[in-house]
Amino acid sequence: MQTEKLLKQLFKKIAPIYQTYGLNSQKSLCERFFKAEEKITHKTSVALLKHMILRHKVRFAREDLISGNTTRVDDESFEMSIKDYAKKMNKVSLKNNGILSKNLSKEDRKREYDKAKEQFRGMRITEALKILRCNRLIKKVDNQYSLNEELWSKGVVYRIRHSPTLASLSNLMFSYIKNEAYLGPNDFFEETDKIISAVIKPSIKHNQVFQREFYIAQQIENGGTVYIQEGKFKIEVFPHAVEIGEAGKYFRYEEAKSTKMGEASLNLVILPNQ
Amino acid sequence: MKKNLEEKNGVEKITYEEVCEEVLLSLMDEKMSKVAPSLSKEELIKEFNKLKNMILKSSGDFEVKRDQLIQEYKRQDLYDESTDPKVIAQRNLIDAKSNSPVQSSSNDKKINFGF
Repeated sequence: MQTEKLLKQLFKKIAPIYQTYGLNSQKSLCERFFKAEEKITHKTSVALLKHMILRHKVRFAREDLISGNTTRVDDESFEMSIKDYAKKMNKVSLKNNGILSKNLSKEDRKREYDKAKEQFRGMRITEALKILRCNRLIKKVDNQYSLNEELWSKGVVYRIRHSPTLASLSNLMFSYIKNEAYLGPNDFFEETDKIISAVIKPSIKHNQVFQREFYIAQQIENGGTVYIQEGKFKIEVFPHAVEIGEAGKYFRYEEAKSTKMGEASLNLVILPNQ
Repeated sequence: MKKNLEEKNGVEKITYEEVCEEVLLSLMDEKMSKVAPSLSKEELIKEFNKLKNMILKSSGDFEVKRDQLIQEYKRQDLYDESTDPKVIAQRNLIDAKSNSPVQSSSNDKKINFGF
């Protein structure tokens, strides 16, 4: 009974390891390469970058990001546990601050802890602002921070202006740039340019199948079927994905009757009005 | 073995709970390693819960490995026995005995009953 109780407690404790890493050995491996502190810094920088992208027209003062009503950054990476704080600030100063003092009332202790948490958020945000500036992702003018947008579009043909899409790229963007000191946002967007053009170009090149591609994409989204011409026969298939191969675009499918998987050129698709 | 004298600096010893955690992690890793790399996050959580219930239902495997590891740490003088539930239970029993009122002998009882 005692063992079961302890096991339950331990399972609760180790569950986040398996949710994040899949295996404890994987966690140990990762920690050998990336220090925990580095990971936190990465997370906070990405969270701040996302926050600024989604409000890209705004110029932020540091204090606004820390405590502003509408511009305050809220992300779990800015949160801290009392344990983290104790580690960072050392337990003695924490005791001196009264947070761990047993003489304090519950309310007072909570207030002290909240105050410490806010201090910690401020520290993290200040740190993240420095990192983002160092990586030229943001700039500081007259004590106000904003995205370094001219660098984001420099040398770019296919510019992404959709903020939610840009925000979803922020982790990728930050990871790419921070690896090499000389890389800037324009280097990242030159890479996305290549990807976008690789996706767009084949549809221009194979314009005659554009209608078919659109039809297949629609059916994939709706979970519908399409007919392909195979010799004299018409075969009903569930399209799964349109992919780009060496010879251009093709699509993968599953036959409706036999569930056999296959690939076919877009040219073979029969449009509904044909 | 995960911990050694150097890490523990020869002062702080390994507690019973730390031993249990180490055994549990290795047991879970042993089972999860077969499936984890190919699973999505949702599937991973499901698998974790499935294995958790399996271990909770039949903790024999866990207990054998735990006892083995305790022996190993004891041999290296790394085990903090004061945290072991068996030792705690024994100590409590001794304390309870030593604190209980002195029992009278059977002869005394006879005399007392007589008056």
